[in-house]
Amino acid sequence: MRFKTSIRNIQTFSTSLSTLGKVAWVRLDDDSVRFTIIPETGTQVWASLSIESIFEDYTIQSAAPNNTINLELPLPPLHRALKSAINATSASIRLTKKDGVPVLSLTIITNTVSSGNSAGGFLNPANADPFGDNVFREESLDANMGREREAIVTQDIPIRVLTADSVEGIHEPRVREPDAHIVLPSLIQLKAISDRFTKLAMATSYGGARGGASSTASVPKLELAANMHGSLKLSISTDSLNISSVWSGLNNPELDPRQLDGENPENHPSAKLKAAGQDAWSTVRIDGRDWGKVLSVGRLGGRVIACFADEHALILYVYLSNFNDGVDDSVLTYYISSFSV
Amino acid sequence: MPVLAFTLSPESLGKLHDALVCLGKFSEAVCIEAVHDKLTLTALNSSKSAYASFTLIEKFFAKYQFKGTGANPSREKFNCKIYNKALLSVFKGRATDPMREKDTAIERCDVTVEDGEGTGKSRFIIKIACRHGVLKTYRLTFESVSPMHALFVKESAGNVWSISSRTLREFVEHFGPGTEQLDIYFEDGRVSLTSYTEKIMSGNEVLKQPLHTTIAVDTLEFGEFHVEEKLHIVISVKDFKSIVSHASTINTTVKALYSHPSNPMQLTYSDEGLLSEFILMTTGEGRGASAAPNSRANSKRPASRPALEATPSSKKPSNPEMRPPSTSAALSLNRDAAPRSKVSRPSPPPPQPSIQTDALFFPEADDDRRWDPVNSDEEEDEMLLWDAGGNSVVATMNSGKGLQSAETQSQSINGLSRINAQTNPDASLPQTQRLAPTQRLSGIRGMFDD
Repeated sequence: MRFKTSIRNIQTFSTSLSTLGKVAWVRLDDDSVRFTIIPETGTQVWASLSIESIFEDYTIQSAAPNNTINLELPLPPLHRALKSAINATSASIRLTKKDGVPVLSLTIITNTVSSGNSAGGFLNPANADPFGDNVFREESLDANMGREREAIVTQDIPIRVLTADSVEGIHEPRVREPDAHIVLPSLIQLKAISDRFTKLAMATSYGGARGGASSTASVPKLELAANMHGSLKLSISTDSLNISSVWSGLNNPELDPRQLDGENPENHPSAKLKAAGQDAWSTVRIDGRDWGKVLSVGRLGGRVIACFADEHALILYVYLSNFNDGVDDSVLTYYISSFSV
Repeated sequence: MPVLAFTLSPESLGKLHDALVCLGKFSEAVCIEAVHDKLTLTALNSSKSAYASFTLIEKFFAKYQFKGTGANPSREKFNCKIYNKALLSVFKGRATDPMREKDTAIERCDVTVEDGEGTGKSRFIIKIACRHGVLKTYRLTFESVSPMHALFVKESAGNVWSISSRTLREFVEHFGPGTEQLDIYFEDGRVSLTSYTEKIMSGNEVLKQPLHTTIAVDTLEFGEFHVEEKLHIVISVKDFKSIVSHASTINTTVKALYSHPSNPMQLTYSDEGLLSEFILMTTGEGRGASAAPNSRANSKRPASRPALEATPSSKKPSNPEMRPPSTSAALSLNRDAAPRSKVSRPSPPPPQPSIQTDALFFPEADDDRRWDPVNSDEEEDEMLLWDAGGNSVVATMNSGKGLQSAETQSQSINGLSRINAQTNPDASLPQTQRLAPTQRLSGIRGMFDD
C-alpha cells in the first residue's frame, strides 16, 4: 500500500472541512479523492475532488481494485499540520508507519524568515564590535548572510487504515427529488445575515442568555425557503421577533435531462412548484449555528446550488470550478436535514 | 516606613506585566525577593520540575530604593509571595499600549512595600498614576515566605547553544497542541526538535494522538553551538512554549546550557535591565541514531515527573511539631529532585568524563537508606536542613558552594539535586533540624506520568 503526493490548494479546503466534524473518511484511488464527514448530529459532507485539484505528482498503489485506499483521518490535526505549510517552498504527504502506527506524514520545506539575520550573523555579540578581531572576517559573514536557511518540518498525523468491508455499508443519504433548486447568492453575505438572525433570536428568546443553549433543540431554527421564480427567503421567528430577508432575481438552473432517468421533466416536483407560481415556496428549517459552519465553504469560492425538499432536507452542491477550469469534477455535497416545526 | 519603594515607567510596567504573565504559566504564586540593588521574581511549578525567574536590576526602574529594616540594608533581603493573578489584574496589559486608550494611559507606577511584621500592616501598595490626574491605589496582602531558587551548576553543563528568540518562535509555532515532550537532538550538522507524546493508544483512540512534529534545521540557525552529537535531551514542551512566547516579545538571544538527561537545563536571555532565567528538568537518553524519540522502548520507560505532593498522608515527620512552616516545599523539592536520577537511563558511552554516569543510579535495594539521618555524617551535603539563623556552619541547602563541592566529591545523589532549594537565612524557622524522608523512593513517579 503506497500513497505519496505533493499537495497544493489543500489549505482552504481543510479549513472548510474541519469546522464540520472531527473525523473524515478519506477514499483515495486512481481517479479521485473523496472526503466524507458524517457527524453524529448536523450536516453530512460528501466531497469528491479531482486529483489535480489538491495534489501533484500523485502516486497510489494498493491491492484493492482501482488502487483504492480508505483512511480514517482526524481533521483538527490535519488542519494544524497544514498550517506549517503556509509559507512552505514544498509540501508533500505520504502514508507510512512509525513505530507500528500508521500515519500520514507531511514533509514541509520552509525557509526561516530570519534567514541571515539570526544569531549567526551580525547579532552575534562576537561580531558586534566594529574594532574587534572579527571585523575583517567578512567571508564567513557573507556566507552566513547569503544563505537561505531551510527548516524541514515533519508533521505526523495519526490515522487508521480502513478495510474495504468496513466502508462498504456507508452510502450517501437518499433524498427524494427536490421541489426547488436555486443558485445561492454570495455566501459571505448569506452567512453574515444568517449569523445575525441566529444571534438576534438567541438573545431575544432567552432573555439574553447567550451560549448557554448548547443543545440544538433550544436554538431557534432558521427557516430557509426558495421558489422556482428566482427568490430565496431567510427568516427566523421567536415570541418577540419575526424577521426575514428575501433575495430575488436568482437563477433556478435547468434540470439536466440526463439525470431524470427518462422521466418527463414536466412531472418533476420542481416543475410543479414552478407552475404553482411565485408564492409557492419549498421550506426547510435548519440549525443556525450548523448552517453558519456549512457556509464557511464559501471561502473556496465555488458556485453553490441549493436543492430544497420541502420540510425534509436541504442539499447544497458546491462546484469548485475555479480549481479546474470549467470542469465540474470537484463537487462538495452537503446534506442538511430539516427540523420539524 | 516602607521596606521597599520603586517607580516604574509605563514601558517597564508593560515588561513587568509580560514577565508576570510568563511566571503565571509556571505557578499561581510569584515570589518576590528584594535586595539593595535588584528585585527578583520567581515561580516554581507544582511538580518542581520547572523554575522561572526574572531579575530586574536598577536600570529597569525609574527609581529603586531598598531600605531594609536593620542597620546594614545592603546585606538584607525582603521576601514575599503574592498571588500572581492579583498582580496581573493590577498591571493589566493596558499599560503597554498608550495609543489605544489615551484617556486612561498610565503615566507612572509607584510601588511601596510596608512590612510591619506581625502588626497586620504589611501591605504591597501599588499606586498607578494615569492621565487626567487619576490615581489608582491597590493594597495587596502578601505572605512572608522565603523563595526557593533552583540551582544550576554551569561548570558541569557541557552543551551550549544560543539562538535568536524570533527564530525559536518560528519553530515553536509548528508544534500542535496536546503534546508533552520536546526532544532536542543533534546529528550530522542538523538539529532536530521533536514535539511528541508517549501515550500509547489503540483502536479509535489512535486518532486522538496529538501531532508528532519534527523540525530539522541547520546548526547555522544557532549563534553559538557546542552540543554533543546523538544526545537526546527531553524537556516539557509546555514549559518551553511558555518561555519562547515570552522571549519572542523581546528581540534577544536565548541561550541554553545543559549537561545530560536527568540534569537540569538552563535557558537564559536578557532585555534592558531584565534578566530571565529558567531551569527545567530534563529526561531522555543518549541513544543511537536509529532510535526515534518516541520509540517503543522509550515509551516503556518509567516516566519522570516528580510526584511531590503525591502522598501527604504517608509522610512520617520525625517530629510533628518540628514541621517547617510554609517552606516545607523546600524539603520536597530536594526530595523530589533526587529520585529523578533513578529514572535516567544509561547513556551508552559516558558522554563526558566529568560526569559519573553510574552515580546517577541508586542502589536498588537500600536506596531509601540514603535518607536515613543516621548516615548523615557521611553524606552531609545531601541532608535536608533548615537553616534557622543563617549562622549554622553545617552544609545546608542554601550554601551553593557546598552543593557544588558536594557535586564534585560525591556524584551520588545530586546528579539531580541541582534543582535544589535555597532557603533564606532570615526566614523565621525553627532551629536547625533534620527531617526524615517523607516518601519512599520507590513510590516516586516520573516527570510525565499522567
